[in-house]
Amino acid sequence: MIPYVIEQVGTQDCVRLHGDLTAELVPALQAELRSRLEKGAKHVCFDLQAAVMLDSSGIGLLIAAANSLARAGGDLEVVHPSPDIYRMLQSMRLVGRLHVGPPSSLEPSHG
Amino acid sequence: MNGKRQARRPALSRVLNSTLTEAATLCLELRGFLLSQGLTPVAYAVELVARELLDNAITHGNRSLADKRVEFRLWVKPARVTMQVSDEGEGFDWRLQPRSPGDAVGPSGRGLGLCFEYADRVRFNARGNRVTTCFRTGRQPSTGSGGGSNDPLCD
Repeated sequence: MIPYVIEQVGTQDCVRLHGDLTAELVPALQAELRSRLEKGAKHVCFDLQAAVMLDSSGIGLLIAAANSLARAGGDLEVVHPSPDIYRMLQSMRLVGRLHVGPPSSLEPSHG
Repeated sequence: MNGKRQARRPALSRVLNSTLTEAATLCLELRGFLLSQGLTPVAYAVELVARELLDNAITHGNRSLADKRVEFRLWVKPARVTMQVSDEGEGFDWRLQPRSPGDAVGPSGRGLGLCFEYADRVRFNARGNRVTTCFRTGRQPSTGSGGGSNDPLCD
């Protein structure tokens, strides 16, 4: 299974994950994003609809991408996080910094 | 009875090569196992901590060396899940690491903080190459189990 696809939606490069955003995937995705930034990409979106897990390496990638885009006058957003992922980013005070959209489901996964 | 506490047999036990691919495969197996055991309430926390500990063991402990192994063990009791990850590295002084994931400013340094945040208990051996974590499941302990008195890992 291809772990992700990157589609152009208007002026935005949308990274649609087909699974988790974790350490194993980060190097390849980082190289791809670097290439797009060098070609002038300024607006990037990460769609986490299919991601159950986001680990610290994935968080690091999002932060690094947000920083690079900000330096280039662009921005990053994260959409459709699971409730678990949203809560984690919220506890780390990253919801605003990464422009994280609301969770994809209102049902909590655990009490 | 010899009077010594008997270590319970792990519900899940694996020895991995030092590759992130093997760690990822184990974590997916762990996810399925936790859900099959009715442990959905703690599944995210346990898997997240497993990923962080395995990645640290492989990348930092074993330096991704092909001849080094990582050992993973998981015990399940009604009221608690206990997980242990060991590597063959020199160890490190975990006391110098940030305890909260929010303390890190740059793109790295959050892994151990997430472990402290999501596990109910985190214990390192003296050398720093073996870590044991505990998660309360919210279930009632079975009667006659003595609570944690037979669990040498998370007293």
